[in-house]
Amino acid sequence: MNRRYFLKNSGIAFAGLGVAMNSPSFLARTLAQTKASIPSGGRRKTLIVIFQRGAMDSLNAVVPYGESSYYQLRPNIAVARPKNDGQPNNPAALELDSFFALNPGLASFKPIYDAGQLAVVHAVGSHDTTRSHFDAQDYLEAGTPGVKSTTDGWLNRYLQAKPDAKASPFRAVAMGPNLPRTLQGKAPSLAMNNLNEFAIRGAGGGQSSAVVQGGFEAMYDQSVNEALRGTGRETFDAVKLLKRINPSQYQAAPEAIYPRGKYGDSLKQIAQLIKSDIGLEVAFTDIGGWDTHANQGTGQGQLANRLLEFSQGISALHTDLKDRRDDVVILTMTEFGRTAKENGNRGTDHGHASCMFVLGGNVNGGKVLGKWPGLQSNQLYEGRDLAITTDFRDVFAEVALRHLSATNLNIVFPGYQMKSSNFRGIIRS
Amino acid sequence: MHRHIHKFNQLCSVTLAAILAFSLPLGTWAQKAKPSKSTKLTEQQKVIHLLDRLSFGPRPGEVERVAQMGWEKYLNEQLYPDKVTDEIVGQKLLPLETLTMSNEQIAKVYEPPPQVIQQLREKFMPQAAATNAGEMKAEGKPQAPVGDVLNDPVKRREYAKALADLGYKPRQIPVTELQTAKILRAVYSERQLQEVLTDFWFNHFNIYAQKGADRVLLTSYERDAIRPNVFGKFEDLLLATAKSPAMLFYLDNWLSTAPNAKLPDFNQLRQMRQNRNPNIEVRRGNPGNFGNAKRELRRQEKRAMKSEPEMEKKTEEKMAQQPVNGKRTRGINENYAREIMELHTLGVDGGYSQKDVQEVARCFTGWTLRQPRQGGGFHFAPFMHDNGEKIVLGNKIPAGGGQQDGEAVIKILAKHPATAKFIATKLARKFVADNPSLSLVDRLAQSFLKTDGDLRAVYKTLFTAPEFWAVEAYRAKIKTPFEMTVSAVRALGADTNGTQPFHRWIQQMGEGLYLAQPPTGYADKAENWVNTGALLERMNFAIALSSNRIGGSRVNFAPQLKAAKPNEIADYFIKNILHGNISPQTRATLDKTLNDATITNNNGTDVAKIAGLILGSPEFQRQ
Repeated sequence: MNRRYFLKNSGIAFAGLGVAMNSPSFLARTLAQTKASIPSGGRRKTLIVIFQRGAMDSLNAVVPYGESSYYQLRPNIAVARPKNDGQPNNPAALELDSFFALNPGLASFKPIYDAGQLAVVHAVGSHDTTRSHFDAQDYLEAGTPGVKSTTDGWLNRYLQAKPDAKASPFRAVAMGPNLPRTLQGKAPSLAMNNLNEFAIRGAGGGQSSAVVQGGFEAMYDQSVNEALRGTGRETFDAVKLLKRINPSQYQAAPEAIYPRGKYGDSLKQIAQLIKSDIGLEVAFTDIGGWDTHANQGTGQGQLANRLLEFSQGISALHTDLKDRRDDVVILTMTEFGRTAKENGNRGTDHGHASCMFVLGGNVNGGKVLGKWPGLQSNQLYEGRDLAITTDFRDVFAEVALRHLSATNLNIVFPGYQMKSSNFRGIIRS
Repeated sequence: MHRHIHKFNQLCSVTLAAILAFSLPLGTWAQKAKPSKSTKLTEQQKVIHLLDRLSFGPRPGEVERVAQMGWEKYLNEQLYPDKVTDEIVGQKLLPLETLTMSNEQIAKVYEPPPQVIQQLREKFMPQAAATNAGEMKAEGKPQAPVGDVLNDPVKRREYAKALADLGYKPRQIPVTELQTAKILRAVYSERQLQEVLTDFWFNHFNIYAQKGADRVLLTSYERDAIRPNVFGKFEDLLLATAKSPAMLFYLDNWLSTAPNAKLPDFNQLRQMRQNRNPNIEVRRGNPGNFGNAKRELRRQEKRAMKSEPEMEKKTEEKMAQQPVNGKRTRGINENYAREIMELHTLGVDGGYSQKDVQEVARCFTGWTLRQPRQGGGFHFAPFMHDNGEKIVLGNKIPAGGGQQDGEAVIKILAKHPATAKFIATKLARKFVADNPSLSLVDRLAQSFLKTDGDLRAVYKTLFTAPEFWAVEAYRAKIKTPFEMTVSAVRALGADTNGTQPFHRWIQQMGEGLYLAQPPTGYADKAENWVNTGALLERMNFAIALSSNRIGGSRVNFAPQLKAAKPNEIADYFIKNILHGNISPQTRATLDKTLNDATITNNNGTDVAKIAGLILGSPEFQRQ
């Protein structure tokens, strides 16, 4: 991008330029900024993180049908064994291997798994003992289990630890009104409800909007307050870059059917950002409704319906990004699992280990990774929950390292002793 | 320019009261309020500074009013809010009926039992039923708007009607009314410092409205625990929060039980019931609750009659919260014990150990609640309490203290020098600068210790400190989204009813009221509020407010303004909204924008757009 482009397309009204002329140093900085600070970033590796808030019942999502205890612990809510065991009101699980099978709600994952591009990490979680959603989500996002004073999130520390002078304003994007805990911190990250609303709105459109936007931009560029000036620049860089790149022009592939609603829309927009080569490195969104204390169902019912929306969104994303799968990893997480035994309301209570899904072209898929701790009573954590055999940071660290080429993992996960021997081999090397 | 201002004041003195107020004689303001090169604030700057920090920003004419009465008098009034009449806001709050209700009353009307909800959800929306099942559901999804997850509008209406037919009102109402009340008070109350402090202390003792039963308990929490104590002793404030059902629930202390606790059997329960004083914890000034004590007893009886296994299962669920050494116990829960030291008193570096956390947790065992979802109050359950000896921060708390153990902890913490320093730092950061000087913090801490934690005395020290009045502190703080939106309404002399269309803007900027999930509350430093999306929303809010595109909010500009030239209108707003605080460069930038043809059209000058540019400017983000 050159100066001419800047004048022509940036949306800065003449006002900004006029002042810049009066101030040579400022002008120099502006032009330097213009060249350097609105890079689109281009095509790069991207991690898409999806948080299942509320604690997904991993045992009914990825069913250990090879373990008879599973059926003893869950007489009313167990998902039927694959193949012959299904009933009209409890369709059978979909076989992954001789031990695990998918909840029918996750049917759209099956072909991706079979193609070797989806891996499950089972019995994963935080070793912290909390069963509070609130603490456990906090720990998962901060990346420091048991430490509440951590002020920033691990995804933000990943960005901090790997500074990039040419980073796009869209290097890290969360779809939603707030920046989630995991993206809070010193590194610039963007929270947006909707790609199509990320602009100066309601100023009358057309030239009128451009004038108002230009006025704001020029004023922020003058601010004596460093934070306002810097963020103002990032903001308008993002607004202009978005307008220039116009990710909305990249329509979803016809065979990619996103579920209706906020969650599906967020995933669709993440795909648009990636296809536009805007420089997206980390994307975040979340989906709620996993706290199934009562009547959670089996191969159908409430949980299966949640899994349906969840997996159809991810499968659509995977389909939509079919030309870019080598660049993209989709990683899901949830704060903890649920009790191994069903409760008196045909639901499950707060437990310990859960599972994660990892998708992508370089994912060592077609496998359920991790060590299976077993469901017999002496194998359960505190006699009631699936035990943890993989620290969630072993998954995050491996993905960050092998997919995003993260640096300084000691900064990203303070207090965590990284050992590559603990990695589960999620990313093909 | 000077002359223009006079001309404007004449022009505008016709219509609105708000605009009228602008026209008070203040012709010299714009010049004097410019940042001065001297090391002292001018008298005018002092007034602006005081209004910036002690209030949610000056309203039209207020700078002049305070200048006339003398800022010392204004400060004194604000420190003794009971002497300030506050009728307008009182009238505006009247329709919000939950504000004066007890927890139990709110629960009765707004909180259908889970079984009812589950049944209705299954009836109207089988696949959505899971999302609202279970006690702890709401906290699982921090970004969820207050209220409902049903997506189909038709089904949602049917569902709401079915609930209404059963006599229940929408469960989100108590929280939305709190949000509205907070906005209305910030905009309209004459007791501005009280509102600023209530916001500050609520955030210090933060509770997340979406954590289960807290949506029922929060109204009383702010009204009865926080608000009455913001000018009182810190110890009273701390104790009030410690005993409030909202805090006991939010930080799980109500579940915390001695490891060796033995559940009472049926006969013991009956004995307890007979022994219990029927006048259990009653909210101040609400005799209506006495009636509920009886019902509570009946409920207790019913619970005891439940079959043994069911009861055990229920209790087990609650007890299994926090295991020790990997072995399940009848759980001590350290959550509150840790936070009361880390966040409420000593601060994270306040010199306590993990052992102290465990000891404090033991002291607070038995501080519990009956039926929080039904609005049950504080209750000390002896059978849950760890009656052994404890050592807290070197202080011995003898065995057998019962409920007094927790009270002893409160005393130890409230008087601790680390607490004085931690509170002093937070107050200095709030009212002076993001990184306050150590000497100021020390003096405030001394004041805190000398007066036994008399908060009003600490405020007085703070507001008369040279650091408070230093040039460096002037306009050195960035407004939070809440402060920005409310100060914009005030600056324009606009009106708002404070309902969700207004609140949504605050939420879009990341500061949804009562919606900070972690116990740390919202950040008190600028760096957390200045992020890209949020900054854009500030500008969009400014344009939306000035263009009358926020439901329930209204600004009327004097019609005469339209006939004026854009630069003259800018002069007018710069004087009345920014009080002259704009750099010459920014001013020049603005003028160029104003010269654009789109600012003036067939209808005259686009006054709203100019006001929006000023409200969205970097200058207006500072205070």
